[in-house]
Amino acid sequence: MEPNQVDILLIEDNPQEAELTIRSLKKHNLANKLLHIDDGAEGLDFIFSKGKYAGNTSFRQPKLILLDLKLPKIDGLEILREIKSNEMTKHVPVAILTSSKEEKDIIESYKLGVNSYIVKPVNFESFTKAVAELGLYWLLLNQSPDLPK
Amino acid sequence: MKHFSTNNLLVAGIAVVLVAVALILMLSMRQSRRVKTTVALLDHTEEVLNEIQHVITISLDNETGARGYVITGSESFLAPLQRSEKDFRTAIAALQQLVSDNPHQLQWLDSLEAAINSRIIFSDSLVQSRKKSGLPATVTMVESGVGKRATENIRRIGNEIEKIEKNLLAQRKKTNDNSIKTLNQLLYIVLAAAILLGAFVVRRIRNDWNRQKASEQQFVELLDAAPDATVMVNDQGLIKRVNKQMKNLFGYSKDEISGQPVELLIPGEVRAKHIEHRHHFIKAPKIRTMGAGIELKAVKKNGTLFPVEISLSPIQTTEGLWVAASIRDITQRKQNEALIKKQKEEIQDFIDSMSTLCAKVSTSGHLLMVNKIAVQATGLSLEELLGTSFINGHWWTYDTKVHARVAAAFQKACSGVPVNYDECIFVFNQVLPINFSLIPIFTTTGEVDYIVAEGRDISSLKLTEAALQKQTEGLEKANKELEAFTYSVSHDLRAPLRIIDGYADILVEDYKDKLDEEATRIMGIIQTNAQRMGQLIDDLLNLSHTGRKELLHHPTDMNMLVKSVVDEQLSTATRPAVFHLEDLEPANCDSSLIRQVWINLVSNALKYSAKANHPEITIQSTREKGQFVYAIKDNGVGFDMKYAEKLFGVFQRLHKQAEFEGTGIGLALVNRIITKHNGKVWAVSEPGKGASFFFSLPV
Repeated sequence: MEPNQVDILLIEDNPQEAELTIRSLKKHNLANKLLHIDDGAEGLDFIFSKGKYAGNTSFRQPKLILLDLKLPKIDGLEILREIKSNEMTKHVPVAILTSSKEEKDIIESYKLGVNSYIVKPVNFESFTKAVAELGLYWLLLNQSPDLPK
Repeated sequence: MKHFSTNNLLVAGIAVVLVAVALILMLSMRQSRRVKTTVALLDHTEEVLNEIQHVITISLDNETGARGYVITGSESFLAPLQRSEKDFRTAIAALQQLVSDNPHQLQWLDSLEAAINSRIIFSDSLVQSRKKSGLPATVTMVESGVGKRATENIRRIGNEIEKIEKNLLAQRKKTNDNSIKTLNQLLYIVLAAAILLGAFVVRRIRNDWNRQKASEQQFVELLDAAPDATVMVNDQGLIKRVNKQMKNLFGYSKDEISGQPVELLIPGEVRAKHIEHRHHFIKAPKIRTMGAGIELKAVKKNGTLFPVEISLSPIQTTEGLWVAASIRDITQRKQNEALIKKQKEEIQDFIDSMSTLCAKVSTSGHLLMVNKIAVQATGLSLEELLGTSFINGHWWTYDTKVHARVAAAFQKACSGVPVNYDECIFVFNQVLPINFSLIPIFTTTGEVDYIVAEGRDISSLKLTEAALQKQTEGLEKANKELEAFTYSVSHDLRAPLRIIDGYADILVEDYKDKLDEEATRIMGIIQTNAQRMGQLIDDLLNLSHTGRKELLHHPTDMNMLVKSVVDEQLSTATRPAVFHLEDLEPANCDSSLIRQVWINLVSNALKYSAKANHPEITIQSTREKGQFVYAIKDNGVGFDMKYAEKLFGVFQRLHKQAEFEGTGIGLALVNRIITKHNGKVWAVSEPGKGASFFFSLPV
């Protein structure tokens, strides 16, 4: 996959969680241009064209970032903050996909400017449905701004 | 006339009366003299008139005598003739004497005398003629009329003199009468004046006398009206006069006590001493109270003693030096004093029984009253403390800052603001935290009269506070840990479950053809249970979350709430049920939590009546004293009351999972929410006859 054609960026450390998510998206043909990064720091590097992904001149911003909250080392909210406070990246839709229903997480996320907050249902069927709807909405229905160069 | 004293007036009056009497006497004497004069005058005139008549008669006699002799020549007629001559002379002499004071009359008298003389002469000549010449010659003489003329003259002059005399008389009489009248008038005037004056003086005297009588009366009444008994004692110690109160106070009537020695009213044992005192007093009398500083007692007629207050005044009377004693019965006052003393002691006992330090402090900072505990706290004695300055009392200060604060607080209280604050002071031989209350007490005019200071030993309170603080901190820590736990549970437990469920699904999907019926069934079980666990976790989380949440009360329209819940539940219900929604009382509650309650109750009602033929659910409310009771009744499967206690337990179920699915959390949640509202939940049922669930909310 070419790094400059990422529609969905999935930052999730748990491989099984990731697999389930991707499977759900795949079912609806939304996983074509999906990039999975299993490390929060790496995810940021990708977004800001740093570290491993430095020097990516023709990088195109993803249409949607799926973010898990409970990530090792760098917290999901921290990543959210980074994305949403940077002029270059703050316009990118970020959907938090998490098991946590904690009110304080929800509030904090929206304070930081999250575009969506989805609580992952235990029931896989429901989960699949939710992810599909999420993907369909942000990729097809929602109009993203033209990406700055 | 007022400024003349009655005495003077009396003297003047008497003097005037005497003068009047003298005047009257004088006038009367004058009067009688006048009257005498009138009589004299009358006599005088009568005499004159008589004499004149006499003269006329004499002249007639003379004429008759002469004529008689002329006619008869008898010597018998000569005697009257001679006599008449003599009478003439006497009469003239008398007349001369009578009218000697009147020259006019004297002149006439001369004329009369002349006329008489001519008569006499003629008569004599007639006699001579007869004697000598005989009758006819004398008749010729008679016929000449000289004699007649002389008699006529005498008569005429006599009449004239009479007239004059009568005039004179009239004149003199008139003068006399006038004088008499004048005197009379004077008499009357003087008499009238005397009478008037007399009447005036008498009236004045009578008024004075009345006034004196009245003031006497007033004096007696005043004496009687006095609330205290008044006893007047003479210098021999005998009671001369008492007022009405004597009877009321001592029981003696005025008559009984008059003349008795005053010692009769004094208790036996002090009588001798009293006599001594009396003598001293008479020697040096002055107004004073008796027995200063001693408890005086008097004795009534019936022998009972009673406490008195006596004041003495010396009075100078016509009968010598008297002493007026005013005796007041102070039994009531003594009783009041005793009562006040008793009340004071009671108050002292009361404040002594208090467990807080209590003191009454003057605005100048001096201790007016101190209770027992406070005395003990200082380590000093009550005598040492009373009256001393609280502010300057070094027995409680140990630090200048503390002292300054307390002094400032005291000043604030003195300005009329109640003060309450905590301070550490030195009491009971140690530094203790004391909660001070300084309350200013005001007078009726709004000024600060004194301060009530109360000190409460709060050291134990502080310990409790400290312990409580520690406990709270512990609890908070525990709470935080719980929160962290919940957080991790919500995250960490759910995720694996999802994955289990997810992969099981993948397995079923991707290896559909490779799995037989049994394998599929087993997978189903795995999935179901994973989901169930997820549900349990969610319910648990919900329950703990609700338990920790703060209630947000606001007025809630129960009808609207229930209606929306019912509509919601019906939309997802397996079987529709008929709902009877009665008018529900609105309540003040956390509507989102109560909504949760209704959701659980309604879904339960639907669930457990789904098997009934005609599922019917009724929701109603009643108002009982102090609370609203809401009820939901279904005609479903019901439950056995034997297990009613378990209804609201966590994960407790009264039906098998196969019959009715559920986690057993729903009612526990309802219970938690309603309990948080200070309400109660309970249920009534009979197997097969439906169930009724009730919850109450306070008004």
